[in-house]
Amino acid sequence: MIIPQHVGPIDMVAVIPYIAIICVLAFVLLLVPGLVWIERVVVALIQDRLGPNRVGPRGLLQSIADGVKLFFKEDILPANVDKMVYYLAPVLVIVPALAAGAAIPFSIVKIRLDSGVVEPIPMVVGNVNIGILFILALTSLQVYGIVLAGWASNNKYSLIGGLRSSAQVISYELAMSLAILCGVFICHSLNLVDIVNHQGGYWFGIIPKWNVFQFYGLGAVATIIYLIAMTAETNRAPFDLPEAESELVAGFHTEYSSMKFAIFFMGEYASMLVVSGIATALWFGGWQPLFPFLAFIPGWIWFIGKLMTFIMIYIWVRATLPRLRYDALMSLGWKKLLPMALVVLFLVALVDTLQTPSQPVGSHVAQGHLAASMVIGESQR
Amino acid sequence: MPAVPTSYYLGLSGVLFTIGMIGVLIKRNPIVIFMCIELMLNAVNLSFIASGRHFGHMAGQMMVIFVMAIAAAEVAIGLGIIVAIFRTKETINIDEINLLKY
Amino acid sequence: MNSIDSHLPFLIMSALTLGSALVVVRVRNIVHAGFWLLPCFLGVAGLYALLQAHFFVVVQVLIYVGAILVLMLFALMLTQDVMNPNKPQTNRMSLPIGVFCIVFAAGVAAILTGHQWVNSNAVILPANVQTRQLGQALIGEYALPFEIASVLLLAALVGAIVLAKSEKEPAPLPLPTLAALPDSKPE
Repeated sequence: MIIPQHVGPIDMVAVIPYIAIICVLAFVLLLVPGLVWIERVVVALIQDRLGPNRVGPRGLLQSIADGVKLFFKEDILPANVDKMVYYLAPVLVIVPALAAGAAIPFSIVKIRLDSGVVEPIPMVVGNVNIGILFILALTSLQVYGIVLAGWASNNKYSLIGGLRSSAQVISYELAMSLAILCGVFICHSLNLVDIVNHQGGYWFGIIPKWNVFQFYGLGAVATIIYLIAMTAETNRAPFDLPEAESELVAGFHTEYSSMKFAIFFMGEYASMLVVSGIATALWFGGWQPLFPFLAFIPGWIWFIGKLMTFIMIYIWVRATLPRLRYDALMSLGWKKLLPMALVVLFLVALVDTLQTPSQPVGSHVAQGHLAASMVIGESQR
Repeated sequence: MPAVPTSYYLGLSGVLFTIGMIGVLIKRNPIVIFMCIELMLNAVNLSFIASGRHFGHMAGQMMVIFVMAIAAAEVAIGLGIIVAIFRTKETINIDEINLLKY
Repeated sequence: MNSIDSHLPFLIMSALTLGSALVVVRVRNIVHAGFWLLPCFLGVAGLYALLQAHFFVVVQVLIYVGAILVLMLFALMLTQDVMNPNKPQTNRMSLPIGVFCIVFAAGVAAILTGHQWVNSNAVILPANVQTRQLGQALIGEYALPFEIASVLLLAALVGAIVLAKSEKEPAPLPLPTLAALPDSKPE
């Protein structure tokens, strides 16, 4: 479908970022109740239970009812909390997640410019040149909300949850960044739109040139490292130590009630959507169709489909695996994932250098090298 | 739109550096001293980047990379030392940590 | 008026940076000091954005805000309750230090006002070109300092591990194997 540049008085090229803003916000915020419902239904199916079935057909309105309940609940402020920080914490959880969504390109539209040239324009709020670093920076901000919530609640369970979370997020961020850098090496760009465009095309006309299939299996290893690290980053099972209900009541949000609790909840799902979006764009070709003969399906459907696949994996993993012990979590992050990610990064750089000998000694290599050494350097606790 | 002159950035950087210096000199808790050192390093980084833009040369930005790397190393080691001291002496007040050996 | 308008982003960012830096130095509660460092670092990142150093905006957030500050908060929470916020947080040398700092600031001001400033006519490159150049310079012109920095980071890594390791560490518990788990066959 090709859209002309001027529809009536509206310049489509100028309007696209605004459409993208609305789409991202609406998608993330409106999808959360749906996600909660999907999660409960799927977990119930896996565990051979009935799941939600009282409100609406097949329990569909259950999360709406939950939302209404949370909205009307009393907003409790525990004694001796640090008020400013206590109120700030939920905001700091959800804002970085929504802001990171701004840099993820989720579709592409073909627009016929006034000059008659047809140009593909990516649907993204801000086509940031160093988009992937931007997203990394914002996701690293999310830990603040959790640490602040844990500290401000004046509750030992919350504090332990906050401490656990900060240690966990810092540890897994290293492996995650190194895995992301592998993708950056493969595509020679930090710009997510370029990264997705690079993944167009097929080998033998059938195997998509997604990053996950690139570089003789190295892409797949990096993808797996990323997927594990992203689960840990979002504090989801089996890495949900910060809110382990059997030992820490509810971890960092023990003392939060009403809408503030709901915002923590929404923040968790929003960050799940964001990291899944990164996985889609970075490893699984964003809006690129799986097979060439399926290219008639619009890009955004492909993107959402892939995104939802990751959400389903999240839910599946949650329903299947038991929670890790904390020292096992740390040793997995530091002793297995991080060395593995370093080796993969090295091999990817090697293959890349061998494949493109004519290039001047690569700038992307340097960028990756730089970011890698800094990332490793700074969080060594 | 006329750009903000480089001297403004350098002045801002000077003020930030002074604030950080006051903190380093008068605080008792070594972690707060670390924070103030980070303020000073940020001030220096700011002046490096401002000068780099002023002269259109990359050296300014390059310095910032090395400053950040060193700041990262310093924080990791420094906080490790502080936690180790806290374990043995049960205090981290630098007025009381006056033994070279424990 | 026009000048004020065009300087407005700069003024906002510098007010944010300096204001929160002052709070960091003034506030008695050390955890609050850590939290107030956050807007300060973000303000500096904003100033980098105004200086068109896009790569450093992101690196500032990633490293200072995302890692260094988290580490500091972590250390603060590990050593909690030692520094009572009701005790004075400053040492007894405030007055001489204040005088010294005023002299220092006056010196900086004198140098800055005494210099003849010319307007820069340097061309600002687009962000992707800047980042590419930076990477190439790190591998080429600045390769030696870069390698030294990486050795330094390695040394810091080893040092931090040695420091964090307690002397007589209890042997880590073995992870339970599946065979060791109680038999959970449905009856």
